[in-house]
Amino acid sequence: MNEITIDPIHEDLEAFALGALDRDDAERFEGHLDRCENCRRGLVSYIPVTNALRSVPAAMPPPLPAVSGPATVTPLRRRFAPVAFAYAAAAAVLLVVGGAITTLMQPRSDSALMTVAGMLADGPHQTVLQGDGVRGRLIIGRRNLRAAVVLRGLPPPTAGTAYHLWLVDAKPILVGALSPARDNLEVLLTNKERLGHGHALRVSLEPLDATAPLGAAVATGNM
Amino acid sequence: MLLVESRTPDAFEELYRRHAGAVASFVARICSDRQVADEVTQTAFLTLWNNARRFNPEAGRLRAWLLTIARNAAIDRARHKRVDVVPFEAAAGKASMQSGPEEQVENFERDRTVREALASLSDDQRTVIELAFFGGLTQTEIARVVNEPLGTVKSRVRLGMQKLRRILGPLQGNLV
Repeated sequence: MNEITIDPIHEDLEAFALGALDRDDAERFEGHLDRCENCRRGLVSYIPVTNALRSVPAAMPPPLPAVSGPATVTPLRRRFAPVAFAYAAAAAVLLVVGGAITTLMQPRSDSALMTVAGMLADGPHQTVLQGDGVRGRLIIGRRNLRAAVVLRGLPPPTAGTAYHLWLVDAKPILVGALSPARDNLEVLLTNKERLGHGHALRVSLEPLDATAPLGAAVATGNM
Repeated sequence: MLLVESRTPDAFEELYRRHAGAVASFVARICSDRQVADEVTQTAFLTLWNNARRFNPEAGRLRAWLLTIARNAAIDRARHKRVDVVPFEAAAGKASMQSGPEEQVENFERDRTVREALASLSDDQRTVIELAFFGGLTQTEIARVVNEPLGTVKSRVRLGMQKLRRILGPLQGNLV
């Protein structure tokens, strides 16, 4: 009798959704996601779970205990933990793009947005991008090398043009061109090392072969 | 590691700033009493302060070490009574005071559903999922914290998440 072997990487789906894979395994699973529609759909099915877990209020840590005499350590003011902010921010992005993610199954946009969904499950760092009627985020994966930009509210690019993301430094550096997706979403997946320099981001509509930003900024954000 | 070795108050404060949120959030999941949770969190950091030389960076991240101490301290405190998975709701209370009545009801219902879903897991499954999500640990780190084989941890994560999906999946419309 023939044995049917199943690639064990499929069994990493739940841990990936939970953000519990080690870095190498997470990167390997991201590569697998590009090829496996079942796992992409599976990842979407876990969005309600990770979103629900994010809704659990993060506890505020108690005051810093004194460790070496009363004059040397001052108690920290109670505040929301950074992790709570990250979760809240991720949840906010899901409010913006989540509905679209769950219904997006078109091949062209499916893969990129599924990857964004996976990044959101991982409590990523995020930066707000906004413009006139435009909202979005730069999402930087916590345990992997990917970064993504998701924007909503941009009119469809005209023929021969695309929205381009620029890193603003001494002079603008092209990060990449965004791809249209359903529901007025524009998406760009990139390597987060490409965002290592610069203090701001700018999005503008440019010809497909643009090497410098000539169009007006339609969205901006600070790094 | 340098921060740990230096044992200066500034270094301690920086470590607290970096890790106290995750430790407190995880402890809140396993301690039903706010005061006990605060004590357990502070105990973990004081143990770090007093035993910094025992921390071996080759054995894992500092956060995993802190969470191990915190978990053991919490279990120690709860040894003679059932560990209650219903956490204190200080943060939730603050949030609800800032929202309208309808939102408060929605938040309450959502929180209750999430708590019930987590409570439906076995203790082992709940622990690994909470260490991953609230403590930010990987499966490898969790295996060290709970002192179980990696394969066992992977299995608990997978089965626990599948169970949560069965319960929480239908709520997608409300939660996304």
